[in-house]
Amino acid sequence: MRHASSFRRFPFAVVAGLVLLMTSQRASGLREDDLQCEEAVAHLNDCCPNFDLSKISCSYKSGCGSTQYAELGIDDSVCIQNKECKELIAQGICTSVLTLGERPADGGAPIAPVCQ
Amino acid sequence: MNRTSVAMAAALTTLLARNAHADEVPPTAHGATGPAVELSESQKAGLRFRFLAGATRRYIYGVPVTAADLEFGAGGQSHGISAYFTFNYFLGATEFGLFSQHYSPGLTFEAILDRTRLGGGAHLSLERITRATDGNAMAALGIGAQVSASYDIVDFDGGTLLVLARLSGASLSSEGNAAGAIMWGPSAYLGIRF
Repeated sequence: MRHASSFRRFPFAVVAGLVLLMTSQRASGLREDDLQCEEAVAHLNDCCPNFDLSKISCSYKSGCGSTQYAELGIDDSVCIQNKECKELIAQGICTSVLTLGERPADGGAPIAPVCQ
Repeated sequence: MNRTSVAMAAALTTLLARNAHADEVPPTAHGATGPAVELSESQKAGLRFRFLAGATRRYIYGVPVTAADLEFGAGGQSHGISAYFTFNYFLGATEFGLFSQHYSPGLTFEAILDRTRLGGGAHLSLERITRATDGNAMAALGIGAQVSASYDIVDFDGGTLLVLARLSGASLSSEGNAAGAIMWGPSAYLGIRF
């Protein structure tokens, strides 16, 4: 009888444990500019010869009075995702994204868009 | 959110308590006790488990994620209604190959209409997407809801084979002053309930 009762409770204990495990994970949130930037960088990495992923930051960071946004804005990121590999190479986008600086403090796109 | 969770848990507990007795005395078509009637596997009351395996397509900020989708559920059914605690997990990739994982515990209720079931429920969400740039994960917590329809294809010894279609949506947390994401999309499963 006790075994049957334990058997019935087991799945609920498993679900409760998984909920606790899940909520203990560090989850700071998902930003659109971060996600679109990462997608664009993944596409560039597939298309551009010798592309250096470490040269671009797609991370939002805030603290100590300063804020850093993803180096590719949403418009640039979506534009890059919509281009074929041969277009990215022919239009020089593979190289121009590697010279990006930080975006303005308001989170807007860089002054000169890299993709049109 | 806590009040809702407690209310849903209380409802499920009540349903399970009824099922403990429903196992012993099969109900008649009118719900009163009496001579046993032949019920299909899909209609019998009692503690039930459900496994689902399938595929899903979700959208986050318009970015599609295609994934293999698994779910385990434990619950019960009685008087034309079933309820399950569920744990859903999917893993897949975005359009350009960013690895994505999703963990989602929840509670689902279904109305049993012969072999068809129409359901709805609520769930918590943890979405993780691995960055291309540095390999770290972007992660967001959220809360969501889903609606589903399933059909019992065939009964077998002690269980039922079923198909289930679902539409899910969840509001995910964002970082900084940005608006949160809505993650939504359809799923299709083949499953067993026993």
